[in-house]
Amino acid sequence: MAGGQERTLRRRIKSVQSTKKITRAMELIAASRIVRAMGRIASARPYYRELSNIVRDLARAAGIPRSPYTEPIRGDLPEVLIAVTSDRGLCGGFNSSVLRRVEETMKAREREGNETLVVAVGKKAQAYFRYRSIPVVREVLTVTDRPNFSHVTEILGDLLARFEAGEIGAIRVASYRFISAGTQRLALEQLVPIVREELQLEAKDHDLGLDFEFEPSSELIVLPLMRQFAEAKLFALLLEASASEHAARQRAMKAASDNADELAKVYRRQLNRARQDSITNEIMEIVGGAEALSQSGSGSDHE
Amino acid sequence: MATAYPFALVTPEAVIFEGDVQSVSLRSGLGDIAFFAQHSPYIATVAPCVVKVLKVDGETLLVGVDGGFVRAAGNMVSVVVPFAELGYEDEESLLAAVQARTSAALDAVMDTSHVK
Repeated sequence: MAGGQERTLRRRIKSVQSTKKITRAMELIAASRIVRAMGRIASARPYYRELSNIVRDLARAAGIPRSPYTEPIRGDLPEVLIAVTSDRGLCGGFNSSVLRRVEETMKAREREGNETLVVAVGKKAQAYFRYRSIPVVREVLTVTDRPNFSHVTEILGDLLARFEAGEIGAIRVASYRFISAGTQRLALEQLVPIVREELQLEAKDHDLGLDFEFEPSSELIVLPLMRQFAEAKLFALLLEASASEHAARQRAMKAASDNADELAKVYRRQLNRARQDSITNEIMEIVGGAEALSQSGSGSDHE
Repeated sequence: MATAYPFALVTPEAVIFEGDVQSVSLRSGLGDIAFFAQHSPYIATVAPCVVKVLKVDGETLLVGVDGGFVRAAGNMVSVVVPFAELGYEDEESLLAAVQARTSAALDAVMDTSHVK
């Protein structure tokens, strides 16, 4: 019946509009979180800069520090892959593209007979690897919503020690890099061995040419320094992933809100059409009924 | 009053302190050390300890740290640490807070019960 159709459409419009209220609210929340996450990226920068200064001074005074962190990768060793995903969905392709990249990399290494150890960061990675029965060395949850530095220690655990002991060839991180509020890029970053360019040994911006004294000694400083440097990089990546997650969610929720508007418009049009149809129908029925009445009435008159 | 010089204490999450100070003392990898203005170029590991910052106004700021690095160069001293604990009046409770945090972090790392 036409009336039933109208009722259904009215109900649909209502539900689309209330869903839109939710997605719109999520969009606004995500937008405010991006700003906060960007602030956290900025406040991590002085730490990274100071650490780089120490590395540079050390390299100048004692030559390029020799340690497992600056050696080339040994291909025969297993590598660690850290998959950084979020705990909640509704953020577009944020999680699936990270996980796809991880699985592709794993498969490629498997074909060459190399072992990969996976660290799952975030509920989405945990669920993915459990569902596929892919063993992981560690699962760390609730990170990307608001990363803090203890997450870094939690994620790495004994991995750096195992890397130093020569059990692990490299540690890589699959995550989203935050380029700007409009651009985020999925990347597979090498955490250790530390990429040479990142040590910025050639930076000449404030060349003090100082004669440093090292305690306990330049050799003994190298390992803890490189360890802290790698941790700082992971922290920076987590912060960027966090900002990217919020940006992805904002975009996804904006698209959802826009789509809700569009859908409500379509339903509204259908509703108007249905109402018009039922009015037309009613008029036809009234006109038709009157005609039939007048015909039968005139017939009986003449009889 | 000792000559003031710029000092910074930074962690990955925030710059804890940045400004002029009279002196800074802490425990390095080899022992206790204090920094005054015009310290010679120096880089050392920092042991878990309480960093005592004597500010220009004569106030002392206590910061508990769990290890990191200190760098003195060009009349500027910076302490770079993963964690810093603030808000305690006396050294003992600050040090206890740092130690509690370090062992809690260690427990979290060693806890593998959630991995099947």
